[in-house]
Amino acid sequence: MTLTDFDEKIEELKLVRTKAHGFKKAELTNLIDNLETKRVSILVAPINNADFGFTQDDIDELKVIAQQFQVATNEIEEANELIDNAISLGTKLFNLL
Amino acid sequence: MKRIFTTSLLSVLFFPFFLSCGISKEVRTASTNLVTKQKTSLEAHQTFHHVILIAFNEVLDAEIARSQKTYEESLENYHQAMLDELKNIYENEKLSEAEKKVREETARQKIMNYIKTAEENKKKRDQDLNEAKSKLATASNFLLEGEKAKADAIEKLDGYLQAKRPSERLLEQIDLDLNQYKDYVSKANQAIKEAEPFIDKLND
Repeated sequence: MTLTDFDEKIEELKLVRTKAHGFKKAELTNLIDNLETKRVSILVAPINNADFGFTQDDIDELKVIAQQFQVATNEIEEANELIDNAISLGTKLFNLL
Repeated sequence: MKRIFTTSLLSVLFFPFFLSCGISKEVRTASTNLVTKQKTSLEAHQTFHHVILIAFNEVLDAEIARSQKTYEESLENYHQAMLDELKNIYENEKLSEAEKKVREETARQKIMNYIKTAEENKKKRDQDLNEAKSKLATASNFLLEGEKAKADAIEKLDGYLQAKRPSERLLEQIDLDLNQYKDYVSKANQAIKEAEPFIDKLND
């Protein structure tokens, strides 16, 4: 049953209920109430049963990846600094000669 | 001079190696573009999630209001049904007072059970709807957090690609030294040229 089917059925039963009395009215009310509950279950089922497939673990993993690239960049910068220092030192040594 | 000689020699020997170790301009440009696109994508995701969440929450809030209305209508109808039953019982002249009391109690029990079911139904509906609201918010939050973490990883990857490789830094230094060498040679040649007349005179 679709949501539209539920809505139509509920409206029909509500109309019948206006003319009912006593236990008949109570039974119809119970039926309408149950249909309303079933209707909500169907409405939210796709959301409540969904597995979005993305967890905190995935986020943590992305953070680790970012960190690894940062470490690699730092290593390159350190190597560059070493080259600069070596050349600077070499120049100073040659100037002494 | 030794330094110029050493760096020049290095440049000749390792030039192909240095070239192969660098990151091409195209890759660096592509990486920069990727960072920009990811930022745009993240902003689009944030807007989309914000709008969709507002819309869904409004739908779910309307359903919560409908659930409350259903419950109130049920109670009202059960109350009316009970009054109808009481009227039927007490208007029935064939029943004794004791039978009327028994029928009244039976009817009350039945209506009370219906009311209990209505309360349970309302509780279930509200629980389902609130769970959906909560799940949507959590999922949206996780997905956006993921997008942010992805954007950060891409930015860090870009930083790694944009950073000058040691080989490139060395090439820069060699280029600098070669320029200094050219300048030195040019100045030396100029000095020799200027000194030539004096040398000629001395030789004479």
